[in-house]
Amino acid sequence: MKEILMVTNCAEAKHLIHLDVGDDLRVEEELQLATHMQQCGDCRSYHADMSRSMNTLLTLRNAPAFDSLMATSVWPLLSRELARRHTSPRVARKFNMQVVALSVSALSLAVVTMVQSLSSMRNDQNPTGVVPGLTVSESSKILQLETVDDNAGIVRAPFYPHEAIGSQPVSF
Amino acid sequence: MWTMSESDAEEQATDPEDSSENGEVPSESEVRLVHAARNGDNAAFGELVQRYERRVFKVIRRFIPDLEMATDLVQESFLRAYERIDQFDPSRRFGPWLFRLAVNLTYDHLRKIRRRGKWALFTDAGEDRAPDPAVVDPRKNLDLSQEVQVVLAEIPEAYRTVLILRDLEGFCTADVAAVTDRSEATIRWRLAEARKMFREAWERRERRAEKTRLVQDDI
Repeated sequence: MKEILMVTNCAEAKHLIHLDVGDDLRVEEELQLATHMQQCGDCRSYHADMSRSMNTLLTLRNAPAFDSLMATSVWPLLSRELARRHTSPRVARKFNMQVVALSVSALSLAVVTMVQSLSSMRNDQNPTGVVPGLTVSESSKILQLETVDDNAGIVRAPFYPHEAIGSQPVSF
Repeated sequence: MWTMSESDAEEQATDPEDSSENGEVPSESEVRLVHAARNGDNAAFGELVQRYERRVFKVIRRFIPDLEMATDLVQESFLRAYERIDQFDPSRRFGPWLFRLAVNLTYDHLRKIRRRGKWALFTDAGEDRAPDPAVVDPRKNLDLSQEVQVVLAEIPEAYRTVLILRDLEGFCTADVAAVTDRSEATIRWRLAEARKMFREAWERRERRAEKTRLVQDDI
């Protein structure tokens, strides 16, 4: 047999009261609640309030506005609709590849235009094609990238190319 | 302090004793009708329609007061049931499945109305204005059931549905769980919360009414 757990606080009891007013408690829960309510006046009065509110709600249960029945059955209309669906041929739907092809072409065109305009912008900014700050050291043949740091002056970042590069400035 | 949440309720649902929905078996005649309807027997489907239409109508009317719209939604629910009857599991009862379709359709309809209201170019004027004391407040003419209906509309949809199905339509909690596709423990938790919300909303309404009465007495 299951041990009956005591309801330890009013919050738990109130949860059970919300269910009790609609007859939704299990037997063991009913016992728990009854035991708690014997000792708690607040919960007894809360139960009475909840019962009143529940009775108010239940006035809607048999309210004439909701008790009105449908004028006629929906079946005659429905059966006609179903028959119409059976007789009318189904419209075959085909995937339209033209839309996809057009979208892909438009997208490719947009990408090509963007790349072209970017490269022309770069050429406008640097017409010699020489990358600034990129020089090849004569003595060590080490390609060094120079970046300017505001605080520390020129910062040299060594770079060892796989191929021998002349002392000419590297241009792209 | 004791606090139980919806997720706690979900955890409780793993208790095999709790899932009484599985114990409910469909009646023999219903199984026969559903089987025939699945095989394209329109007369069998018609019998199912006639068996459930009034109940479906009543549930939809709880959400949609407009008679004509409610009837349209009943028809739409059965059309959807007919289209999807292949997806129905015949080992379960037809009723909860049908009510789930109907309730979901009703939700969709209500959401559509709400969206339309949100983006409409013109909205109802004076919605937020205080009532003119010189004009008789139309709310005075509401009878108790209409007032309850107004208060019920203040409760969030998920809780209101549970309250309507259980307390107003008399569904058992297992059926409410099947209709709303939630566990029975969740439904019990929501039911308790919904009743509490209704009580609070009703008390707020009574306080408002009392205040209005006092103001009118002063005038």
